[in-house]
Amino acid sequence: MASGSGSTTAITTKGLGKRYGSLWALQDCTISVPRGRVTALVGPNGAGKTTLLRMLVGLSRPSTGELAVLGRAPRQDPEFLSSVGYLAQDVPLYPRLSAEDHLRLGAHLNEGWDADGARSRLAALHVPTDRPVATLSGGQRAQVGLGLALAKRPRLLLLDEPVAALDPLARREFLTTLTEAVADGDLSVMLSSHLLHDLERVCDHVLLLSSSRAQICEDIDDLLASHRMLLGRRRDLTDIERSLTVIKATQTERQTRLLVRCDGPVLDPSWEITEVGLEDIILGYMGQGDVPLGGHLNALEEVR
Amino acid sequence: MNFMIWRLHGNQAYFAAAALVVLTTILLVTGSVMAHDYAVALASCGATSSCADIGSFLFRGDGAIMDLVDLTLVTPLLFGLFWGAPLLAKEFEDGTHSLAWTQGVTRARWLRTNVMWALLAAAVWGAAMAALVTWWHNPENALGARFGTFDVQGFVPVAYSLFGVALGIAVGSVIRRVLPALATTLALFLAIRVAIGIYLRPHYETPVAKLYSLLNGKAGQPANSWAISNSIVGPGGHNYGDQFSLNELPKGCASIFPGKGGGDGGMSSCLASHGFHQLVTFQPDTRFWAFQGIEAAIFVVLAAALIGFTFWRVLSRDA
Amino acid sequence: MSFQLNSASGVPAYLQLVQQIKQALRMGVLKVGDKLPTVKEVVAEVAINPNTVMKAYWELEHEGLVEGRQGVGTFVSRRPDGPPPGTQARLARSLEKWVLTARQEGLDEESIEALLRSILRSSWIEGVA
Repeated sequence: MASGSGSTTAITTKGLGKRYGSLWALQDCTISVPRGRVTALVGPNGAGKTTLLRMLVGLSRPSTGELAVLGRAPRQDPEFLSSVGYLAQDVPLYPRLSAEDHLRLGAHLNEGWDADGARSRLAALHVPTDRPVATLSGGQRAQVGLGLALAKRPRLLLLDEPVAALDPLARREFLTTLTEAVADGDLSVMLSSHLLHDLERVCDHVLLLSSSRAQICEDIDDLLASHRMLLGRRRDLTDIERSLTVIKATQTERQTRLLVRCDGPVLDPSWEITEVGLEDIILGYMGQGDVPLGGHLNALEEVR
Repeated sequence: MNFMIWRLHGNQAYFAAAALVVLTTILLVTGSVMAHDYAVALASCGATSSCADIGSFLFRGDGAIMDLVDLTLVTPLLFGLFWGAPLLAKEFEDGTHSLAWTQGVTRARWLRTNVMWALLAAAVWGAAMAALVTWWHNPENALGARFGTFDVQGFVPVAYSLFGVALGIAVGSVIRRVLPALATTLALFLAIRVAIGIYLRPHYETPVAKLYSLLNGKAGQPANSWAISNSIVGPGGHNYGDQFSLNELPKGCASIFPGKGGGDGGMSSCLASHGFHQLVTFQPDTRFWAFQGIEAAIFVVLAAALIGFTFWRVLSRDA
Repeated sequence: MSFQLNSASGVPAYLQLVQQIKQALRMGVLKVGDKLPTVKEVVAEVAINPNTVMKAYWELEHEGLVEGRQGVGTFVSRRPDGPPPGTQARLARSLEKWVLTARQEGLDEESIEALLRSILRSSWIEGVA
């Protein structure tokens, strides 16, 4: 890392949990995300993605466990607050104010505010900065929201479903702005989304939450390198489970298809072995239910 | 921070300022006329020593203006509804609190600045209005019961304004949507104001009690005082309230029925002859400012408690 | 030089970039001394993670194909091992001819691919053996 201040991890949590009433929105979440990564935060609805992001930015407090953001617990001081950029779901902005108003607002509220950078980005995308933001398109509003978050020159940027409501072109523009900002300097990003294809281009790390727990938290390249799809005639799985971690097994009358995690090559020649895309890996884990991070549970799914 | 307040709430301030200018103009013009008339009338009655009924030939303002002055009664409520209640509720409803509270300004400072400005605005506007109305009421006060217009003059409008805004803000911190917060603020404001006006205000100081002969009626009650109660007291000191039941009447008077043969049919004189008296309790005019002080203090304390609650609520709980 | 990413392939994105650059070198699209686009240029064009681009460039640098010059950019320093660009083009032309014949014989794209894959596989096994 170029500017070596602080810790080498952007986000560290230990046994982090959040309870609303008797319901756990997030439970026993222990993760570590290195600095400089663009992390995809994925998982089904209600898996605790928003809950996690809100705790990271200090909007809500954990019920259990610990968390460190850029090496320190989120807290109410200007230094912490300006080091973390946050764009909430649905891009909340003051509807009657213009983008320019928002930028001036930000300049009054933050130290080291980069209004010029934000203005030139918005100008390049032809986003009108003098009209009330309520009159802008969804894509333009998202750009204003991202511009505000980036103008803080944050070291960690948290984005909650930023592209969900955007058309493909606006989505591409949004992600381009984001990746350019990452290329510009020491910036870690975590963004949640359901659009795995977008995430796969933009992200190099993935955090999967499912059933309120963290199922995967690692570099996408490592994930792709360690997972394979095995296809072969139907057989008993006890043997293979000794040497491999079966993430998901699909058995038909004649065939067995396995998503496995393996550290070395699979030697058994009776399997046809193929590489697996990120989406299939994630879907494989999502079908899992309660598997602790790095756990070894063999879900067996019988298909007629 | 202040820039943010101004940019977001400037329109409300302009609107309130415009309303205040209109009100000021109307009251200054009519108030000057009234003050002049009063001075002239006082001079002329002084010459003929007939000042006792000066009120009867004095211009007391147009009915519509009177109504307008009475309407200033609701401005503290309007502050509560349009400045107080939306302050937090609107942020929560639009989700902009998550924008505001993730900038490089702590939530405590954000809240402090917002609340301070809202309270300051309410106090300034409330004070301006109260001063204006109090001045306008000057001739009237010299002639009639000030207690009748207790709520629109003196310090209390300022205290009500602070309370209104504080109540709105506190309600908005709990009910995070604008319309329900408005409705709740309205209901609570009215309930608390009315309850204190009816049940507490008469007892800020022990009312003065005076016994009058039933034959004189209420003629002896001091001018401009605020009557609290009016009852009949028997010879043994028993208080009958303001109504007798038939079997409580002394024997000699039981056969007299009011309304027969005009007036009370001699009931008053019959009772008086049996040793009954009229008991009047009242708050004398001289207590007016003490009462203003007490009531203002109550509402300022309530406002402070509500602001305290808001800070606790916003700072100690999840956004 | 422009890049394309296929997300369903299971091949890490940086490896896809490496393969595409190598292919461009083999085909002669990129020559020794050419400057590769900067990370920022690639990111702005295809909206991908800058770390992916950097990782691809590191990988190529590690293999000795490109050379990063501080503050100037990344330059092609060597072609990948293998026959000269002409060979590739010549082989491509004869493969084209073969594909045309296969089509005329009534093979659809799927069967052509399957045939090619099985030949590749069996020839690899022969080569190993």
